[in-house]
Amino acid sequence: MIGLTLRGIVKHFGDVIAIDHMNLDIEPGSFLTLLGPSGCGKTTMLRSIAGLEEPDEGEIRIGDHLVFSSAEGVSVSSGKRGVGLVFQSYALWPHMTVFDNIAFGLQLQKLSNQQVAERVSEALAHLQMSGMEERYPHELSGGQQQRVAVARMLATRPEVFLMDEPLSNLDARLRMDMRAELKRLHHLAEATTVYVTHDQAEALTMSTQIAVMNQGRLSQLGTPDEIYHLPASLFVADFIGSPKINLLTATARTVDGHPRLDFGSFEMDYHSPPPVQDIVVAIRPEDISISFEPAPDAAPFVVYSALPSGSELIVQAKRDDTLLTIKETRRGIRVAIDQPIWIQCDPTRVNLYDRKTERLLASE
Amino acid sequence: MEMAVRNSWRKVRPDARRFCRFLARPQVILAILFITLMAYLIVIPLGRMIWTSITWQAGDERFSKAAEQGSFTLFHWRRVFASRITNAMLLTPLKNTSVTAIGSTVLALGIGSVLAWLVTRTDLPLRKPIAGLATVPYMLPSWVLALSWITLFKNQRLGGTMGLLEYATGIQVGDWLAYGPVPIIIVSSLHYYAFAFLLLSGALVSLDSTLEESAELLGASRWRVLRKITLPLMLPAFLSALILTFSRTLGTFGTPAFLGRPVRYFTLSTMLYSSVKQGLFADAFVLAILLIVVSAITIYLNHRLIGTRKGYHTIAGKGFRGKLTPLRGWKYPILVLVIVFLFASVVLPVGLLFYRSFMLVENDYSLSNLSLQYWIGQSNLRYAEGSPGLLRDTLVLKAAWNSIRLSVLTALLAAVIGILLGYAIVKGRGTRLSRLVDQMAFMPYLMPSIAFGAIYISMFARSFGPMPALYGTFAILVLISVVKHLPYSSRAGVSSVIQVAGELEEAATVAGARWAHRFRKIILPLASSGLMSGILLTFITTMRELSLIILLVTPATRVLTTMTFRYAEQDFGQLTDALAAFIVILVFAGYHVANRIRRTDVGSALH
Repeated sequence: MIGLTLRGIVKHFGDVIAIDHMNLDIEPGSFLTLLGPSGCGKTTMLRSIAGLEEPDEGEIRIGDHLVFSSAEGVSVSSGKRGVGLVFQSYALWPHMTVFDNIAFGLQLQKLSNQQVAERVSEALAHLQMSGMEERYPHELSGGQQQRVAVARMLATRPEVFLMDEPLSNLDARLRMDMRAELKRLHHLAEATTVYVTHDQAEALTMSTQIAVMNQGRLSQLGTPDEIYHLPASLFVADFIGSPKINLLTATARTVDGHPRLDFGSFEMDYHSPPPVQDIVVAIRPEDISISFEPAPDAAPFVVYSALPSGSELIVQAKRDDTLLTIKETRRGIRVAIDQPIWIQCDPTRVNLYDRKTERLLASE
Repeated sequence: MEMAVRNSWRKVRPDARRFCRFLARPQVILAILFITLMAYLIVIPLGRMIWTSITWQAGDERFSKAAEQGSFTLFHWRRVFASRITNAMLLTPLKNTSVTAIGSTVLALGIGSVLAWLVTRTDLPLRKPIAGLATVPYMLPSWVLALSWITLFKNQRLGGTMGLLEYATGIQVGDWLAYGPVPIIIVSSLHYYAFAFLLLSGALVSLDSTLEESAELLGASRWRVLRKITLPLMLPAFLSALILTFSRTLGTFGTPAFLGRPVRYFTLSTMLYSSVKQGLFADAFVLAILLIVVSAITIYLNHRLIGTRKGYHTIAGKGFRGKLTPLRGWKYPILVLVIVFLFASVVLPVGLLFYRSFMLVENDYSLSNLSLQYWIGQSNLRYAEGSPGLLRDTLVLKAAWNSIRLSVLTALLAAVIGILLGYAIVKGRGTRLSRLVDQMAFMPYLMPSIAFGAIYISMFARSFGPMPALYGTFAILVLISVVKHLPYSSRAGVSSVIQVAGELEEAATVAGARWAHRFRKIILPLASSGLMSGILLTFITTMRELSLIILLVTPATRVLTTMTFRYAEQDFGQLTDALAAFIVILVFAGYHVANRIRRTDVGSALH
């Protein structure tokens, strides 16, 4: 298993800067997802690793192999980098059968006909597509085409798997199944995978590491847990999580020696004074609880909207200018619009951010 | 040893290495190759032509004592623009060209737009066959109609023999109807209306129907919608069709040649031809430059108007899905009118052509006079000065072979070069190099065919640099036909390659394929599948080509169209028509062969 190192990557498209001095270290054997909104540069990064884009500056190493260096004028061609790529559109060649599609790369590796046939069957078997060798892409369903695209990548046994939003064209059900399968294949092949997606749920479920990108820069690199529970900036906090996290401006005060967070229309006790006074408080919807009777430390709110959906109930509660999103998972809870409710949340589950720098403030 | 080489390579400056890699990119190599070729085949000849027009030439001594061959002079320009012969050489032909071009454009657009609207927007019955039949005139050479016109309308005074009308009714047809501007305008518009029809029906079909539907929902009547929504939206397409048709009719040669020269009614194009035939190359080149400038201005206007490059229209994938306008009581009268019109503009002329080719003796249009003499008859001194029937005449058969050879070679070469050009343009998209290639490939579009032919005379009369003297060879015909087609082939190539290049090619790159392998196994097979209609179109247009090559053919390289022209000049009435009919047969045969290989829709490739 090999790792990847990217240093100082800069890429312009005309006047637009797509990647703005990014560094990234990818551990051998990890499943790293490049996550971010459209236009953040994640696909450009992936294509730079693959050799389909040439950065303006920087250095890329795959294992010990220096495949790109602007300083030394090195740029190894894609075919020699030992990577495999699955495109978002699958890019299956329509005039070739499934067999020929998969065999293409193997034939370039100068394998004998028999070896080629064996590898093709093996790859198809991994994706439960055995027997489809003579079909043409247009005779396959979307899901099947996707599997062939993955099989084509697997067949040449690359050490690095690169995938560019491979599941975005599939329906929701298929997507769930394929996520599991891709994870399995990653494990079986002992490969290092770099995966691009804008779907944060996908990133959270599949990855060992997530690199959140924004406007060509790396916002945060961490495990799914770290990204979810300790987002390093307001951008990451806002991007991750469904429904969206609640972000409330507040001022840190000390009342009677106790730290308190003043939201304007209500207040909350806190356990330790934050280093800055002007803050933004981030609370996950599932960390807020509703009660139908007044309680100490509970702020009175009014129900703005209620959206029940099988396993959970999404409630929006309003007080003055503040609108909170709450995820209620207890069974049998029902609310009506304009109903008064009381809001509580555990202070140890909230994150505080510096209002000016938008960075996470260290908490105990 | 290898290590030393590798290390020394590393020592070469990184920018130099980067530059070398840039140069090694296939699209860059192709682009540089094409730019060089096209500079050689388009820009330099144009330059030489301009140069010839501003220097003294051999033989000019008879015009002026000051003539010193090779030195700079404005003599030729003054001769054309400000001398005693200006009126005959420039002003009158210019006036005639304007009259005929404007007249035929207006008429063609009138017919074409009405037909386009009827076919796409009303419930006229038989819309599909009408649409198919309406494109036929464009497949035939434009001057075929001219020949039929002569057959129908010529009078004894000028032609020496009677036309069908005079024979059938005894009415002496006036000169104004038989030859001159009136028939030129009518015949040209009967050919070019198909061009306007295709452009406009394409635009009408791709108009978003929801724009009109929302107006209807708000209560507007049909006519109001037409007036306030449809027509304003169609205005750019209409103006573009107007300008493009005008630029075509400007440079047309065959029709004014057949219908104008007998009464000494010259247009700029026929004047050009006469000048060349008299050896007055410099004068001809001045006229050619004038034609090119006017043509370029009209196309530039079109570009500014529309914003799309070259005014090419793409027909949108979805057809018009709105409600059709009911014609109610007018339905059948209009249908009859349309059928009569199509009959008169398509079936009748071709029919007349065939009919006259079977007439043994001139002037006798009766059925008893029909014979196969001119098709398969033996040589007989009583008819056509002893020329044998068409299919027995080795000269004709050789010319037919030349025509077919030329058309097939041009079509195939243009297609392959088109894909290569398309690759260079698409892959290099956004770079100055790719834009330059695109613009240079477009240049032949600006030049009327007759002027382009003039350029190539000047170019290849002697050897020039590495190019041998090609005048008089078959190769020059292929060369000029392919170059003239570059604007179309590059457009077709670009749209074919666009669908293929991109991720389909990248997948092969990541799998390790080098450029030649990728091109052979992925790009070429996938891009060619859409090319059939382009190949067919090139075949058809080359088969009917006259003005492009008339100045370049010699007896050894003659083709069917130039032979027809010669026969017409010599007044071999039946043979001329038989030859023209033969060309029509070949064109249709080619169309059917292509359709067998792959169902093609010529309309979609026509611009």
